Amino acid sequence: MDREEIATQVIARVAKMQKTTPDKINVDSTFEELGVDSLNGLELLWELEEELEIVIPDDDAREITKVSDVIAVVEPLLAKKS
Amino acid sequence: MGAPHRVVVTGLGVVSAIGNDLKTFWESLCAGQHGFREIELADTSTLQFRVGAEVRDLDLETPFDDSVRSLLDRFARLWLLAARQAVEASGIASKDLQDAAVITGTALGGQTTQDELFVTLYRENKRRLTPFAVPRIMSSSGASQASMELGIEGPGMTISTACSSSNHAIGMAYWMVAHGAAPVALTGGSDAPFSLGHLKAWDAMRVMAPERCRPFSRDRKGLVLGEGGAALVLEDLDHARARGAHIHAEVRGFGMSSDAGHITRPSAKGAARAIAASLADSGLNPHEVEYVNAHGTGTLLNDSTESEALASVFGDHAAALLVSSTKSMHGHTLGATGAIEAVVTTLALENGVVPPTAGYLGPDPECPLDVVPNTAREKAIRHAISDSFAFGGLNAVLALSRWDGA
Repeated sequence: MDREEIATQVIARVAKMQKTTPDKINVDSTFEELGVDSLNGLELLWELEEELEIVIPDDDAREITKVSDVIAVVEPLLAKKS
Repeated sequence: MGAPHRVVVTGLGVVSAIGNDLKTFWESLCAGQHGFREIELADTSTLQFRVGAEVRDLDLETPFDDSVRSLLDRFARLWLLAARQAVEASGIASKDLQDAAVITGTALGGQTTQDELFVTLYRENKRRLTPFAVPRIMSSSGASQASMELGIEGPGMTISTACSSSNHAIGMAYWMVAHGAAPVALTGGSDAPFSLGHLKAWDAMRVMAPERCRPFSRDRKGLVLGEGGAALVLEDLDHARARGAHIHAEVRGFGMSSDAGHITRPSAKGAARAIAASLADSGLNPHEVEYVNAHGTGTLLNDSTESEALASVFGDHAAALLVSSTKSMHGHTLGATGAIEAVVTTLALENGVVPPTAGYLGPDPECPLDVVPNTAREKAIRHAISDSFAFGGLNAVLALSRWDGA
């Protein structure tokens, strides 16, 4: 999965969670701007772990504040898998 | 109802990762010794943390009769051992327990049993569960078993408010004795969180420290779960004096609040309200408080929020407070933590020594407090508070004073 595909998937999940449409979200959107609270943010990461069969370390998870952070954490984990 | 009665602490008991008797527990605290080790009660290979504050070298079988043991989950055994210590140490006669109250706190109740039974049901497809399942799992089993064992026939209940459970329990016990509903109350709490299912739930929240918890410190990484039980005997002062009881400290007040905020994120406003309520109930002025046994879980959010709450209640006096989190040694024992920390606070008042916040690496600008870093401090403190701030924003704070004989 390349970066663009990952971005599409993450944005789609966030849009679904926040009951909005993907066109309203871009990679620089912060969770705060999007109204994604701490528990929802954890849930998003959990869903990605389940879907993509990866494990996101706690230290990396705690630094995530925007969509691009999620992509930056997920991309190398997927690369390592393949 | 008349004027409130004065309420004193006449018995203490504790089982924890840093000691299964009061003397060992206190020595560990004064030495800044933590009880964090690799968890043995569950397989942590699929978790992102390995460390916990488990009780060690404690016989949880032979102290209980055959007829009773099968009814007792781990959490109830931890509670009963602590309760027995407190009652024995208090010297109170059996007949005086008949009218006593028993009020316990627990967040999880018999979840160890529940986890084990889920395995037999869902994995092993067993057709029947043990008939002891309900009495083992129910959160009130600790209070019930204590009442049965000790002949307590007064008010009995269990309070469950997550991490504030046993502070709420002690607060209720205090108010009962203060208002004459019972001359004596056995109170405290216990929790045993080390089953895989429960640890997985905490793992999902990503708030677990990898090696140890470092409350209020820079670079702190979260909490370390612990297990344990603690008990206090609270007694009407006249009743205690009449039987020549040893008095450890006086309970002066209790305050509560609800954040009405987020289900996990704490609120400085809510915490401050509970602290202020405990002071108002006690009649103490903020500047009279010298020691705060903090909730201090070691998470980024709790510690900075608690610092903000203390600053808002105590103002300039906050800088003069000694604030330590002993979770840095006994871990976060969830529903037991209020009781364990009430025992700590009582001992600190009685002995004139403030236990440290262990594992402190250095200051965090968001926590500008004297956290008694790493080394215990001798100080003849007169008044103290003990904070508990729970998930769901249910807060409970106790105020205690040194007993000087009057």
